[in-house]
Amino acid sequence: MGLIVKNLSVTYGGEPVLEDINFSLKEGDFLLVLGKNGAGKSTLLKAIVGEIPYSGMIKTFNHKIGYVAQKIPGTIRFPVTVEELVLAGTLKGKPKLSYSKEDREVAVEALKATNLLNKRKKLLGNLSGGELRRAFIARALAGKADLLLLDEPTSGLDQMSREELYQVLNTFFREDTIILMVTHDPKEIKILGNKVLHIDKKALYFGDKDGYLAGEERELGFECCPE
Amino acid sequence: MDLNVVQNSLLIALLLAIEGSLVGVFLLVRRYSLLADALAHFSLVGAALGVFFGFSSLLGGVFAALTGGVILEALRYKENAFTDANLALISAGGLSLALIIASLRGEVWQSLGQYLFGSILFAGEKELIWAVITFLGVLLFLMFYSRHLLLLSVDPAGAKSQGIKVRFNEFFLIILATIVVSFGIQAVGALLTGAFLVLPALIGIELARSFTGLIFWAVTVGLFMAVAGIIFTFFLNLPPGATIVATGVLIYILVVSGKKLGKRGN
Repeated sequence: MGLIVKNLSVTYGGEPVLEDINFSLKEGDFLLVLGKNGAGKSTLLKAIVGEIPYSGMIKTFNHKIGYVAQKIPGTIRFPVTVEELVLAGTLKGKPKLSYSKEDREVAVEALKATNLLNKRKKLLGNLSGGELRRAFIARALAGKADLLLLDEPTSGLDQMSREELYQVLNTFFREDTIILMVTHDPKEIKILGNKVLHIDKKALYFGDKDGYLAGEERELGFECCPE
Repeated sequence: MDLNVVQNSLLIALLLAIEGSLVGVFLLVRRYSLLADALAHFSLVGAALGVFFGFSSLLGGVFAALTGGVILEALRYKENAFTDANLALISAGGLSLALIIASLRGEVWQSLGQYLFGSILFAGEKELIWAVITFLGVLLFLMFYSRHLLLLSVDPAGAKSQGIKVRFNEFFLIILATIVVSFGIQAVGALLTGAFLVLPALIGIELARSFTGLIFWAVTVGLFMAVAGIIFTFFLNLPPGATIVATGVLIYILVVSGKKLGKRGN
């Protein structure tokens, strides 16, 4: 079980974006994926979701993946309620005539976990940036996800919204779940997660967070002064 | 006036109003609202060919619109979007080709007016059967896939990660839109079919407080537009497409100004 990534490489138009990435996670791991812009952080998540072609091996076993992309629409110009979005998180590829009682229960759990239960009738277009992020995370949770992939979920949020989101993640995070979260905010390393993967096309560090923080100066030195 | 024709036309207009507004909602939220216009113009080619060679202009229109839809889908797949250029190409290409075909023979030229501006008294039994079949097709597809299409519009990356097939859903939506459009041009005319599909959804957006509400309002407004338009057509002898769409535009203006006034009142 867990998540295994072996010899993962991705190329875009002949250019390597990820080269020979190896790591494995077990249940109870909360991995922070670090690296500068263009280091391949988002690409790594997209490969795990299966959105882009790659070479190498990715095994997610029986985990249900919940994925929240970095780009979420800034404004939604037509009326959709939070509840309608989160319920749609229970959909699979198959046709669906109506949501079952179980779907509705899972959606309520996801709304509770993201602190949005009292805002479920609100339109997505009327939410704050932080609430909208959480609504998208609730959508991912409603698929009964136990492998959560979050691509810079706190980008563009103010401090209070960030803290609310940290709380949501820490609540969701359990012994039987795996979270991969892309971030480029060094402060988040101290607040969230227990493992770190630092990449710049290749993996520069993979291991416990404590180990990474202990060698922080060396690692940050690497990031600040390439070549 | 043959009562059967009137009855059939009315029935078809109502079926068209419902399926048109339903498809219109999804075209609008997928940001394909100009697609209906482009397809309508392209389906004129088939209608003109039908009159020219003496086969059913309805089927000719459906076939041409499907061809246009497939060309657009292929172009979109290449460029990952419906670009303005692609839509304009199909739209203008179709209209000009239809005009050239029509100018070759007088009778085609004369009947082209009906396809440009629509006619409410076009319908026989065959058209009614076709209308019922497409109506059921739209209804069935949306009953099972409307939630998938909604998620694809709000959160495409998330939808894909849930196993929702983008190409399948979009392809079916476009095919259905194509067939609805081909019918639409018979009643409303090629020039106004796009508006006929999208206006109810636009008005629905102003009135609804949820996506389910949007669908409800779009269908209600669509039906109202069709009924009001047909009444004007019969009693004032005006072109149906123009009266239906003008009714929609009037409702839109009233709703938007009503909302503005309401806000000021608060």
